Amino acid sequence: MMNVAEAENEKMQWAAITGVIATVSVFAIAQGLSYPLLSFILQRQGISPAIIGLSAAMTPIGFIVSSPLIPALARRFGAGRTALTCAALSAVVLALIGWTQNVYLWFPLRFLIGVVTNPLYVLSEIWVIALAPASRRGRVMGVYSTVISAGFAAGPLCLLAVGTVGWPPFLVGIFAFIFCGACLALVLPRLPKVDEAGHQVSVMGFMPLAWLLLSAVVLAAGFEQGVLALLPVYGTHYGIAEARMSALLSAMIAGNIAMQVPLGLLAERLTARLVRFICVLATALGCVLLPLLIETPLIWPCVFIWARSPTAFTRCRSSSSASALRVRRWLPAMPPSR
Amino acid sequence: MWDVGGILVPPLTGGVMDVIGASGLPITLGAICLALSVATILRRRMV
Repeated sequence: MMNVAEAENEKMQWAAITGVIATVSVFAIAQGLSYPLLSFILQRQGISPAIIGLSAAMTPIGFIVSSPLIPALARRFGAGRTALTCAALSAVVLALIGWTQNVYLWFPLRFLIGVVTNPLYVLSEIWVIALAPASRRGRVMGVYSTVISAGFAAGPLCLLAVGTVGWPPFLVGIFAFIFCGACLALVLPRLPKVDEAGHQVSVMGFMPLAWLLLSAVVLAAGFEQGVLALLPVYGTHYGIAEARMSALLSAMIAGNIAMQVPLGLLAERLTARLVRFICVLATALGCVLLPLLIETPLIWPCVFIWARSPTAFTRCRSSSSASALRVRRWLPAMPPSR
Repeated sequence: MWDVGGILVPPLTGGVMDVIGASGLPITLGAICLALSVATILRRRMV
């Protein structure tokens, strides 16, 4: 009888994990869509690349500002209610962005998008880590990261279907946020309670221990977000259609997903540092080839490998470090992940 | 740290694109890779 109950409990846990991952992947679609969409719109308005880049930087600022508030919000209102409210607010803020279409109003609105989407990512990661059996936690987090990346890649692909003009692309994003909230409401009763524990882990304390890793993360993130925000602008300088640029961005993010495992295997055979070095050299070569290949079909394999190189490896390592920091802060009783 | 990169690099790259045109994108991103390579080599020598 006990075994049947345990099996049933495990089944429910897997259902909850699947629900959370599916929900966040829909959320990632909306986010993946918004980066190039807003760049295309600003480019059409004749806004300079510097302002487009500055506008894109507002969302990460929102992420940083909101991060310290998440524990207090989860404690005060409950993690589930916080996540649901954030999903609803994300839909509202995206609707406001679509409605205003003004570069200067988009600065605070994009900042707000960062503020309201961040808790959902953080809380979902904590839920998945807490729900996953310790023996399979690494694999579950690998699936979690991959599915989110796939959602992110699907965002620019949506622009191929709905275009970048008027309300249709915004409605896709708004619907995705609402759908995400509805799915989350369904799995919420099965999710574990999130409590902040006493352990405080300082990123500043971590910095001297892994300064190269952290600087690689900064540069890789900057690379990825710079490409997402400004490759659409770059393409228009060559007269390339917006649909093709959206597809190129999707190919780039698909490369992100596809290269993670091969790079991990390569790092096991060689050394992590050597693989990282090869990665950055390959990316530098991609930068040289970009202007030469942008108007040829060879650009497809180029972007597939290109943007991946610095990011895939650092992301594997940094996300596990970030997860460890988050988890140790929230779930100190949990055994260390293998 | 992921977000710090997102805050710094897009405005910087956009600024370079304003000054030297579209080629500012691959040049800035290439310079970032170069910085990463140098950091990797330096770290290797220090260890």
